[in-house]
Amino acid sequence: MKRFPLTFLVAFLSLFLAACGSDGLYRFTLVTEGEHILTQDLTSSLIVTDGSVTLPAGTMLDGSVHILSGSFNVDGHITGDVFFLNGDLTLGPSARIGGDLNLGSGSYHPSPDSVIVGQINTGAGIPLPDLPEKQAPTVWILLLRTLISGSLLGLVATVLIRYVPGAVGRVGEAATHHSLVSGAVGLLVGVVGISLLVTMAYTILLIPVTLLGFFLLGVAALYGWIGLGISAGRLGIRILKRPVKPSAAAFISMLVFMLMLELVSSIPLIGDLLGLSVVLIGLGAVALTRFGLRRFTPAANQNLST
Amino acid sequence: MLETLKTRNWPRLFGYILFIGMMAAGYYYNLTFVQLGLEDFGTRLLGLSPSAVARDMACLALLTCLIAIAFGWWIQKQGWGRRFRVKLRLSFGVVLAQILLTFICPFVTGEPGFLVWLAGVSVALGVGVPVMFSMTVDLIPVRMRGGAAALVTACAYFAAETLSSEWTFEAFRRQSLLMLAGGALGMGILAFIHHPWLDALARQHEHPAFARGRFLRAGRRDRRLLGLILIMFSIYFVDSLGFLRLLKTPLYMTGSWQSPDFEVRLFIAGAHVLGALVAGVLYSSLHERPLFLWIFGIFALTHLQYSFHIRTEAANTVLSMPMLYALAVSLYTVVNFAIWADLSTPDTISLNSALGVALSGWTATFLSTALAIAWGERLSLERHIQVVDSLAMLFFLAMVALAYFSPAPKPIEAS
Repeated sequence: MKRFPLTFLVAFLSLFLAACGSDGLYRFTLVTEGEHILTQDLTSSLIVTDGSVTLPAGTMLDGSVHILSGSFNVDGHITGDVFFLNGDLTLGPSARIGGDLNLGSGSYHPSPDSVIVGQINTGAGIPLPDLPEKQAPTVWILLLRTLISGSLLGLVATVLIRYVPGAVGRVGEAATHHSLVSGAVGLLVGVVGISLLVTMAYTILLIPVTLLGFFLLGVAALYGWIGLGISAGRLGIRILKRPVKPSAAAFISMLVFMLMLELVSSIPLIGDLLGLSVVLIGLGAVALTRFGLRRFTPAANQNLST
Repeated sequence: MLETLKTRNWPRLFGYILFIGMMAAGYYYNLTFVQLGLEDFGTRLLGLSPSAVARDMACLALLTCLIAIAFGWWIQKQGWGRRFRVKLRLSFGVVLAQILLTFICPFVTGEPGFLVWLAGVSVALGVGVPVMFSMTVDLIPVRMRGGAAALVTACAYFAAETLSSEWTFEAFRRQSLLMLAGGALGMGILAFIHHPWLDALARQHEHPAFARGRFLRAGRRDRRLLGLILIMFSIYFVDSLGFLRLLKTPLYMTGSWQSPDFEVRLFIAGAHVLGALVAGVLYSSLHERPLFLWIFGIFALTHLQYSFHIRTEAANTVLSMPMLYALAVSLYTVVNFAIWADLSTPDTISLNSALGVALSGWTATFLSTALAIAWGERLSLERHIQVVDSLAMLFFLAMVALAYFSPAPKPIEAS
């Protein structure tokens, strides 16, 4: 057990190293607003979502350009392809595009002296990678997927019930006996937690912490599901009055719980809301019990006990 | 509430509806007519300078604070905290005074007239706060206080956000007059008729389920009250100081609270309602400290997002910022509606609620208004929001330290 904190610390600190390994990764420059003039050569792809970018004569952009909106004035050299989806694209007399020019909609003003080495693709002619068409999964595929995820969660539940039965029990108890409080806390944790993590990501430096935060949030949500599933399973077993081994009961409970959740989520209009509620209740139960380390007792019950 | 329905305890159910309706209407009036309308009245209609209006509003806050405390003490001295009918009649008087003050606005001219008129508004508010808050012990049992406060907050903010498309004095005056007229009729009837339901409500404060607040502990009342006043003052101060500056920034108003797009305002109203309901559930189930941690934490995060947004000089606003702001505001409003009654008995509620609301709410408003005027000329928007953010973070860390170093509260002693 003593090795656990050290291992955890090493794993946590190593996440920060991810920020140092930018060489060799795909790099891009994102412009979301404002006026920008690229006075030096740029070795990355450029994505323009809004605002105005100018590539003056004598400068080079080593990469491809994606213009989603805004304006882009070219008088320099672009080595890659240009994808112009919307906005305003102007090619000056000394503009040179090394790759293809793919035109979607928007206004395009080329100078007769500009050079495009590759092809000009317009409208629907923009070549798209061969992606398989996405089809709605059939009932059998859905069932298979649910059975697989249920089995995986069942296996995790079996391990948890074997080694930390008390903690899982406390999470389940909070989720089932105090579902309203759990849901309320889950909502706060979800909304505020996601906002905090996204805000941290804006600092760039804290992106590894953001990733770790999202990972922990996901783990907490799954842990909550497991607690809820096991509690629901216990109730079912009590009703059936059949003795089942705790580990087997945990596995079956998770499987049935996931199937029930899938069934509930498929109800039109309210299905997604019910599914989300279950996630929030689980998340809240984990937060209230601090990952099952303590039992949750409502304050009102404590204060009004006399 | 479901239990009340099941047992068909109609007088008690009527008490819930009366309290929620009365408090929601009162808070709606305060949010719209007083906090937003008076500034427009002074600057646009009377032609006063913004700093003069802000100074006058700060005087209103201070005067209201003094009157509320004095009247709360007077009610306690007279023993009116246990006399439901007296409180109903006083409330009726307050509503009549508010109708009169709202009606005579067009006849007010110049700053002296504005100041006299503001003094009248202060008296009505100062008397109204201890009277209306002290009705909690007559109408809402301890277990229900979080839920009732949540409904009051949800109704007031939902109405304020969706009904008020334009934040002008005329619009607020029209709405307020309509609401007050309806309220006066209802309160007038209740104040002077005799009905068994009202007799039953008048006796409820004797019942243990109503009489003793959940945070009452023998011998610790004064310290606890002072601590909570300080915490609530900090919350009001952070909220008011930040919002007063955002209010003056068209980008953040037209893109959210004052958006011409109804869906945007509906979204913020929804955030307020959701926040209030969450706070209602949590108030009843958690200790007060985690709630305060959430409130300060959300305020710190919201102001951090605002300062990031200001730094990027973005042309459009992001809805997550007002959403989080609405969430934090709803959380603390719910606490404010319930906590003073939960620190009191029928004998002490008038003074406790007056001290709580006046010293935390009105004093914070007074100080933050004065500070916002001074900073408005000296500090940039970014710096102003950063200072507010730092304050929120400081209070958050202070709450964490308090939770770490002081023992958890024990259950109440039997009386």
